[in-house]
This record gives sequence, C-alpha cells and structure tokens, in this order.
Amino acid sequence: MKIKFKLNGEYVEFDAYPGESLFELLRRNGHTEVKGNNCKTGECGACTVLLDGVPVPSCTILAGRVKDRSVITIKGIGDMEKPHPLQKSFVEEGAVQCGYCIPGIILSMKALLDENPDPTREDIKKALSGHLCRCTGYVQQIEAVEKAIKLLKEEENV
Amino acid sequence: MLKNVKEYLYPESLNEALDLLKKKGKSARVVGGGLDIIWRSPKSVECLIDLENLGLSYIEEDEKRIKIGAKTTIGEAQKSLVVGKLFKGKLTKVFSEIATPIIRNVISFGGSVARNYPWSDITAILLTLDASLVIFTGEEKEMKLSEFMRVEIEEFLDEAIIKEVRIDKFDPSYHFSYIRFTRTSADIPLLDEGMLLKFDKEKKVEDAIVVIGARPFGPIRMEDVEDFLLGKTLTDEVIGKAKELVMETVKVADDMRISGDYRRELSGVLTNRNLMSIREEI
Repeated sequence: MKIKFKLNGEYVEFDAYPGESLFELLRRNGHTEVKGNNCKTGECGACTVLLDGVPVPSCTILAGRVKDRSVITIKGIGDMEKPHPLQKSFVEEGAVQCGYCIPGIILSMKALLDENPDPTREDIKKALSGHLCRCTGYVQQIEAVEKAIKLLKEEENV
Repeated sequence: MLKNVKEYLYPESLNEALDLLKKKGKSARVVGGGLDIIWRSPKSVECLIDLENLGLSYIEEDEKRIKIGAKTTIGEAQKSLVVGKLFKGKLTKVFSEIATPIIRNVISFGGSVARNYPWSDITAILLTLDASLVIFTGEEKEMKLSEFMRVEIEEFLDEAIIKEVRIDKFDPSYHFSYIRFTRTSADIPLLDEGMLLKFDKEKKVEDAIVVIGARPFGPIRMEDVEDFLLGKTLTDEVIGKAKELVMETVKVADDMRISGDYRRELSGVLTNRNLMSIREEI
C-alpha cells in the first residue's frame, strides 16, 4: 500500500507493508538516522520520532497510522551546517558518547521545549525518563538541555 | 512486522468501520493506538481497521461528565485541563506516572479497555472511577465498565466498537487516591489499588469504591472493604481494620514476578497509604 505523509517537512510517498511499523518503513527507505528497534515495546526510546510534534517510539507505531500526518526525525531539526541548539549543546556538553540513544532523546527534548520553553530540571528529568542511555549517563544530558534553553532564548533575542 | 496483515483500512464512519469488522470477522482488528497489536503481533490478524478518520481523539465535558474519545492517549489526558480539574489534579498526576512519557503518547483509552489486560493501570483507575463506555453496535449504547469487564470481551468486540469513555465530574465530597507498585517507574504494576470515597458533612464515608488490580488477575472491587468503610470516619483504628480486611479477603496468586504472599502484604500497605492520603485531604 502507498502511504503519503510529510517527512521532515517534505511530502513523501512510500510503499508500505500493511503490518509494518513506522520504524521499519523509515529504515527500509533509507532513514537510518532513526535508531533502535531493540526493545520493540517503546521502552528504550531510541527510535523516537515526532508525530505531529508529539514524541512517540516509532517501533510501536503502525506505518499506516502516519498517513497524511507529519513525521520528524533527527535530520528534520538541524544538520552539521546548521544544528538545532539542542544538537549543538549535546555535543558541547559531552552529552553524547556512543550516540545511539541521542536522536530519540533530542527529539523528546525538542517536544518538551516546544511545549514549555522554560522547563524545570524536574520537567527535563521526567521527559528524559522514557529514554535509556547506558554510556553517558543523564547528568550531562540535563545540562545540555539547560544550555539549549539559554541558546534558544539568545536566538529569540537576536 | 505483522507478516500476516494484508490490508490496512481507513473507514470514514463508525458504521463503515463496524461493517468492515463484521465482514472480516476474526481476522480483523480495530486500531486505536495500535500498541498492543505491535507488541503482540497476533498471527490471526490479517486486516487492520484504523479509526483515525473518525474523530475519536477528544476530551470534552458537559455539566455532569467528562467524555474521552477512544483514540485519546494517556499523554493527551495528562495534559487536559478538563481532567486536571478532577480531584485537584490528582488524576492528572496518576496518569503521568503510567509507563513512560513517549509510551503514554501511544496508549489509547479505547485500546486499554478493549484489551482489558489484568495488569492494566488504566482499567483499574477507570473501574475505581466507576467509568462508563459508549459502545457502537449500529447505535450508541452506554454501559458501565464493570459490566463490560464481565462479558466475553473478544467475542463482544467482534460486533462492537468502543467509541468513548465517560467519567463523572465528581463533586468535592468525593476523594480519590490510586497507587501502583512497580519494580521500575515504567513497569506494569505488581499490584495496584484505587479508592474513591465520598464523605458526608461529618466526615463519615457515605460511598466507597475500592479496587485492587494486577493480583495478577484483573482489577476487582473489594466489596467487603467498601461495606466496612460505609458510615465510618477514617480514624487510625478504622484504617488499621480496613487494611487487615483487605489482606484477609483479597484474592491474589503467585506469578513469575512476585509471590501471592508478597502481593497480600502489599495490598495492606497500599490500603493504608491510600486511606492516609485521603484522610489528609478531607
């Protein structure tokens, strides 16, 4: 079946198997920036994408559900030349080691900051709670989010 | 990947969805959030019927009740101002403790009720709130969740679709408390208990619902304990006796996660904590 949806701001149309997950659909079509499919239950958070701006584990979303909707992967918020403040601060704060969980974490943090530009440390911890990281630990990641909040405010004031 | 699925359909109305469900029979499954279907990957399912176009993601209120569309997620309910008004935000807090934030964005109310898993926090919470369901069988019918949980759900949903969950807008004389005991915050409960108590002006219990779930059997009302609480004020002695009564009467069993004895002990602890929490509020 054909599924048309907006991927990182551009309309795409993919051939999908009716029983596959969004994760499988994206990976089959070259979007290897989406990591994961380890737990296949959404518990690790690595495969998180934004579906209409809401963070969801793509391994738990049936591909058919994204028809006519918007999906954003880590590539959709910034790149090497123009990284999103979250991407920049995660690198600068040493919040990335193997990097496997980071795309999902950054997208969850983006959804948090879109909804609440001034979250408390507790809000950040809660939003991080759906993501497992087994090398960096969470302290640098929380600090990176706090730095991104400042960067975003500076951008707004420019 | 659900390898046996050959069709993914998008009906435009509940009537069309129901016709498809009846036509496809056991090989069809309605998709609310789709989480359970992906987790379980049932081999018998060959056709998925997505309710996306039916406008079932909503939280509305009228004078007496809150109406939650079947496709509404726990994440949406957690952010809802309408839900936030109930029990001074306690229900919102309870929703915000289920699973993880990203999984809450996928779990739908309709899906949770339809699957009726014994460990489901959602059904335990809704049963505590004496919630009702709007079921579509060609026409809309309202039935209590407690009644729905007594039918053969799988058979029942061969010819019916859950449209809505309804919760009463409880007045301030009602107090609610719910505790889930888990190994990690994201885990399913090892045991959970919900309480809804109504107090009169003398702070005596006028109405009571006590529910224990994940026993590992499904959530059940503790009627002996409810009867015991009626007409009582929540003194230390009453709370102690309620705790003992729960431990005496609760039906629990061993499973691979914990023993029945541990669950029995836990049931007393949760009863004590719920009653203390409610006593602090009144």
